[in-house]
Amino acid sequence: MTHPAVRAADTTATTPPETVWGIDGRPLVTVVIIMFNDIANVGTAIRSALDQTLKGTEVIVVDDCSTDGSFEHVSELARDEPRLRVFQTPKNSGGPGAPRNIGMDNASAPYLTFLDSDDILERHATYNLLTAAERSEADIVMAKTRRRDIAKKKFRGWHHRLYREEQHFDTIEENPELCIDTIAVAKLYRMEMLRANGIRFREELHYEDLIFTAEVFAKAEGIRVIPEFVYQWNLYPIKVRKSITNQRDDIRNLQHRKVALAEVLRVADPASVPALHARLQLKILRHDARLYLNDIAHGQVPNLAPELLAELKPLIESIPTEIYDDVPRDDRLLIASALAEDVDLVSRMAHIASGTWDLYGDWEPGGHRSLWEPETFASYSADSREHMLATFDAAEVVAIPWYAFKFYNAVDAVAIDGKNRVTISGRIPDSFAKLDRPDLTARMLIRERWGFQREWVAPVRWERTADGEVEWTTEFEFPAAIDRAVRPKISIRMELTNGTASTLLPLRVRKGFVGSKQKTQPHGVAESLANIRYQPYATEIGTLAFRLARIGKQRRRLRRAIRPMLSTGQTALRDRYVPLPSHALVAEGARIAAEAPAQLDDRLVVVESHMGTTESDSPHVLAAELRRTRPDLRVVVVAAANQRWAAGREDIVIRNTVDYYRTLARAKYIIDNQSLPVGYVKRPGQIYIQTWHGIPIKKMGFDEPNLEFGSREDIADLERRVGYWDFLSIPSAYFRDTFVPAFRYERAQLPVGSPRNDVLVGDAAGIAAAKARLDLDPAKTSVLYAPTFRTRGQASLELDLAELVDDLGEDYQILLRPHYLNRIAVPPHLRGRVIDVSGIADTAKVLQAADILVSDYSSIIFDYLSLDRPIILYAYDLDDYANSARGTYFDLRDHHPGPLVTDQEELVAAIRAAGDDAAEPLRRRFREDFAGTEPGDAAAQTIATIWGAQ
Amino acid sequence: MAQSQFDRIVLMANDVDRLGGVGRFISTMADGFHARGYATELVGVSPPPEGHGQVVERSAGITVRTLMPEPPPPDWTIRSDADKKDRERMRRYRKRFDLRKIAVDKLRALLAEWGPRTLIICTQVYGMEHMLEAGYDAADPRLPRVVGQYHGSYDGATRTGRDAGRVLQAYADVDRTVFLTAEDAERFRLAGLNNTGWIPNPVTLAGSEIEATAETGSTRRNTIVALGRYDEVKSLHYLLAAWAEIAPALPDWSVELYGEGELRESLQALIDDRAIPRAALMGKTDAVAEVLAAAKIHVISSQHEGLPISIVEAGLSGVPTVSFDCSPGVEMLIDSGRTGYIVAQNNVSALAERLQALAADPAALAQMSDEVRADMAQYAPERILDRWEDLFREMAR
Repeated sequence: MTHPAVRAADTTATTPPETVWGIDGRPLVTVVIIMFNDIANVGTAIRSALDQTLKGTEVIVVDDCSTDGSFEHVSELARDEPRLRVFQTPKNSGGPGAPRNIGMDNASAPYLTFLDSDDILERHATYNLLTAAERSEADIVMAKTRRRDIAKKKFRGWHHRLYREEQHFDTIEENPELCIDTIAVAKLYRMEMLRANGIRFREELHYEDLIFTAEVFAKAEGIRVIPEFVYQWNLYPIKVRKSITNQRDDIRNLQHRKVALAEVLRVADPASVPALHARLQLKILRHDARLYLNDIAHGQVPNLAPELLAELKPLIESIPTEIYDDVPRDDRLLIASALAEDVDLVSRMAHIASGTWDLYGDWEPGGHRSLWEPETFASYSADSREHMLATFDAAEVVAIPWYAFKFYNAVDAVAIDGKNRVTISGRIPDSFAKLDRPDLTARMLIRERWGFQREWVAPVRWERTADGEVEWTTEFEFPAAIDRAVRPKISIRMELTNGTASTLLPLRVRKGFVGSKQKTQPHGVAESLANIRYQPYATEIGTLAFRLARIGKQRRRLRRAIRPMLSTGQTALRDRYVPLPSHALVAEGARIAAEAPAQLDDRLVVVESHMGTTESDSPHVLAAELRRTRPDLRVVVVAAANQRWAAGREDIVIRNTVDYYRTLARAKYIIDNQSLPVGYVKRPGQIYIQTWHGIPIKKMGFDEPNLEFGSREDIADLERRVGYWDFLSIPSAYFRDTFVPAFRYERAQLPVGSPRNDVLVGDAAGIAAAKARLDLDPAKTSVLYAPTFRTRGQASLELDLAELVDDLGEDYQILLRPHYLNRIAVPPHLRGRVIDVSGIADTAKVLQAADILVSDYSSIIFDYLSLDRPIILYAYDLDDYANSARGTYFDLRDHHPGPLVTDQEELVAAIRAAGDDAAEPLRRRFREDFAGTEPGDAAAQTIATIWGAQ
Repeated sequence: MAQSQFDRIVLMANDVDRLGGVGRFISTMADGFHARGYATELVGVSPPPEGHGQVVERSAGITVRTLMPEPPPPDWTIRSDADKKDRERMRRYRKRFDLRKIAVDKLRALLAEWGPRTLIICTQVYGMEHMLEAGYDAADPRLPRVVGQYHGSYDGATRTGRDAGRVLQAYADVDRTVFLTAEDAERFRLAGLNNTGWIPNPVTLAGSEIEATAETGSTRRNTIVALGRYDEVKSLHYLLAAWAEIAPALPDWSVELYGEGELRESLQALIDDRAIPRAALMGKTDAVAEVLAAAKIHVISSQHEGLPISIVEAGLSGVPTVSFDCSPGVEMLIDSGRTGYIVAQNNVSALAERLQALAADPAALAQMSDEVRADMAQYAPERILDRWEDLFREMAR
């Protein structure tokens, strides 16, 4: 097939080919640019292709009969550019297929790539694509595309996970996943392969690129994937420009797509490329159909929804049932809703399937084979596709603890009265009865998004109705103290907590919700002048928040004029809420200490744990004991900035603020478990109680080789800080023999015991209550996996969760508590079996709920010994650890509190065998050697030692 | 004249005639390109800071330029209100920008003057940033071509401040960016740089006549040497710690640290406080070849490195290196067990163990000495110049 192509301009240049095409003297890659009425952008696209580092880049522009002068404009450009040729279709074809085919027919290089007239080729694109093709003799090279959101000036990815490293596949069957990148651009094609297989764009169809790429994938021998970014896909605001394939508000769009998809499945012949064929079928369910269902859910096609669903039905039904095995639960329920042609159900399930919130709705209990929305699906026969798809494993959902569940939390109404009292009511469908527990309380957290970032709390009244909905109301006065100078947005979220676990629920609203027109009243003269009023609104992600109401131009001028008035009283707030920059800490800390009154406050106790990031561990156990037994003392708690546990509390000081140093400078007593910041200078008469936060395995303090031979400054600094300590907690004799000399500590030692472990001593029987607190299944054995920190990039955690769950079976549940920098992703369908407990602040509460601990080199094993339950060391990288430069105080291979395993298979066997507790003697021995026996009243003994005499 | 699309090679660095790896690179390469018939220029953005310069002899045919009339003053950043009130600091701040403008203006004129048959090898990001400020557009065919270079490792770049980000940004559009090792090139590639390649640095041993006489250890003393600045990065205290462990067992061996730097006092204090025997801070040396010719083992105990040239220098003179695993470059240069040893980062006892084993086995040490000398020939300047000219051909496609 030949096209009557119009040659626009002849190259008049007579320069030698080496000058034009580089050292090879001929074109190496052809870039085909297609264009229709795009005079504004095409010049940039052409420039990006001509400016390639690869000189042998030929550029062919094919115009689809533009009417805006684009063709003439480009022809003019081609006049002085021998590497640019311009063609035109005989008549407007209305799609990219025809012009791309003309480009292919006229390409003179052995390789070809496409570019759209409003996109950009990265400068090194053709070089990278070409050399990848040459070194691997691949038929197709695929590289990374970045999408540029023109309106927001941001980049977005495009299947980036396929492009993490350079890879080679002999055929698509080796990695059919690649076929989800269906765009024809950002790929290099070997011309000979296209010609030999007669692969062309289907001019009579829309979505011709889907067919083209599917056919290329099916035929390609050698597929090279490279990590370089080669193509910038510009996303223009929809209102301004709309490509054919984005007009999903027209039913013909779906009809065109269906025709194309049928063709896609035909060219990806199941006889020769079965894996590709199956993956494309799955893609139809998970991607193609999904696009239209999402449009319905987001209310973008209000009048078209029933028609779309009717049109989708045969497409969905054309996919064989075995393909559905690879579709996740929520997607299956969504497809079932689509087949039932239930628009409301589709809307709900589309949000759920995209993970915005978790499943809710009616269901008919049936354990692993429960029926979703029986009102809709019970009427279908048991062997129907609808019934099959609506059948789901409810046990899997029931097992997810309430604090790990993303509840849909809908606001019904917002009201603001004349006195700025805000009333918000809403409801949470609790379809799986997770919130039916007496220990739960709720409160609202109202927070300045920037500036001082203060947080206020408000009570929530709530009630669970008989039909499984939680109805709630909150009433509070809108904070009068909001920063008038900065006027931040205000977020509002609902916190559910039982004192151990907690979760934050955003408040869901849609644009134009009931109450969105109301405003608060300004306070006082300045605010009235500036007309500062807040108004509730729906954020871009559909949550409730408050922002400043708009004002007119004149008022804005006035607001600017009275700015100094609005900024009064800021110093005190800054002292209280804004941490000092780190470079100012030393000077400011010293200054504040020097200016403090000579007399210390004998009643003031400052408590800090893990640099203010938690309200647990020994310092807080001591604080609680002090509050109980010594009401004459005043305990002030240090919180790092933005700690949720500190919200609404009066006894908080924020770390590294001016107020923090002032408080430290006045306090007679300081309790800490790590180290105070560099700005702290100890004042005469202060008593510093160091509880520390674990028993060491790795060498510490002056025993670390880094410090053992460190600079004089480093050594002096550590000596100074340790010199501040007046009392040190001593968890065990082993600690006394290692830690104390390692830090050259010479002052008073507290009686043996760890305050934080008081609660664990003799608590072996409390496991049922502990499991209930964490919403765990009391009948299952809970296995806590708490590995120590591993440097990112160097050693990854080696645990295949899906396999572990499979191997252990129904009788076990796994609790995960990795270091916060080593998060482990739990696959969605395992969330009932594998529970991430890293959000539970108090480690003791987690330990209490664990039947078995799996750890490695973490000091958590010493704490867990107090419970006298089985411990397994999963030390897959023991060799690295044992040989590490830092060195250890003892060799775990010689001393361990339970089985030492190095791969997952051994781990499973050890967990299964833990019930017999054959390792009990080993544990007892280890405990005697390293942990000692916790007295259970270490907090009381500590307090008696320090305050007893007074 | 060489067969190439370029007539002129410009080697650009922060400063010319400064001690250190980049300084040696541009000098060696300038000599080599000049000898192969290219017009050759060396461009320093500024004069080297006081005390860091050295006198280098080179052919009169090589042009040397310095863009700034004087070195920019240190301590110039303005971070706080206090800084703004510091008048001296503000003066330095303004001075810095005045100098930068002078450099940029000069560069703008030079770029136009040099034209498209010039290749600029920009050895440091700082220079590239000046060129970009001078309006350099890699896509403009009337301007010189640029090959960017980064002499550190990817790990080092991500650890020391903003280097990695600066490399990714400044070199994004130039024709090529060349790293010292394949691994560094690959890691920058995965981090988003689209024009990566790699060529190691050439190595010459100043005073190679000594090399010829330094045969089989006859003139060598039982010495372990280190050639590195006394600073946190080179962390020589690890070597001292290792030596402290084995010194009693090796009574006829000694350790000599050649260099200078801000940690001199700390290191000396360490030696004194711990009474570490036969360990000496030798100060800076200009006679690296002689030092190596008289030594038996070379040690690198750094926190990170690029492609440590001292491994090659030591190797060329028949001295194997025992090094921490502190950069991909070390892995590339040392075939552990054959041409030296690599031990785990900061693992003092492993370092001590290797040193002691080598010192105690003269036959193994001699064998290793021969292996390493043969191996390092690939870094000879002529071989490296060939690789650069291969790159020019590739760039002409």
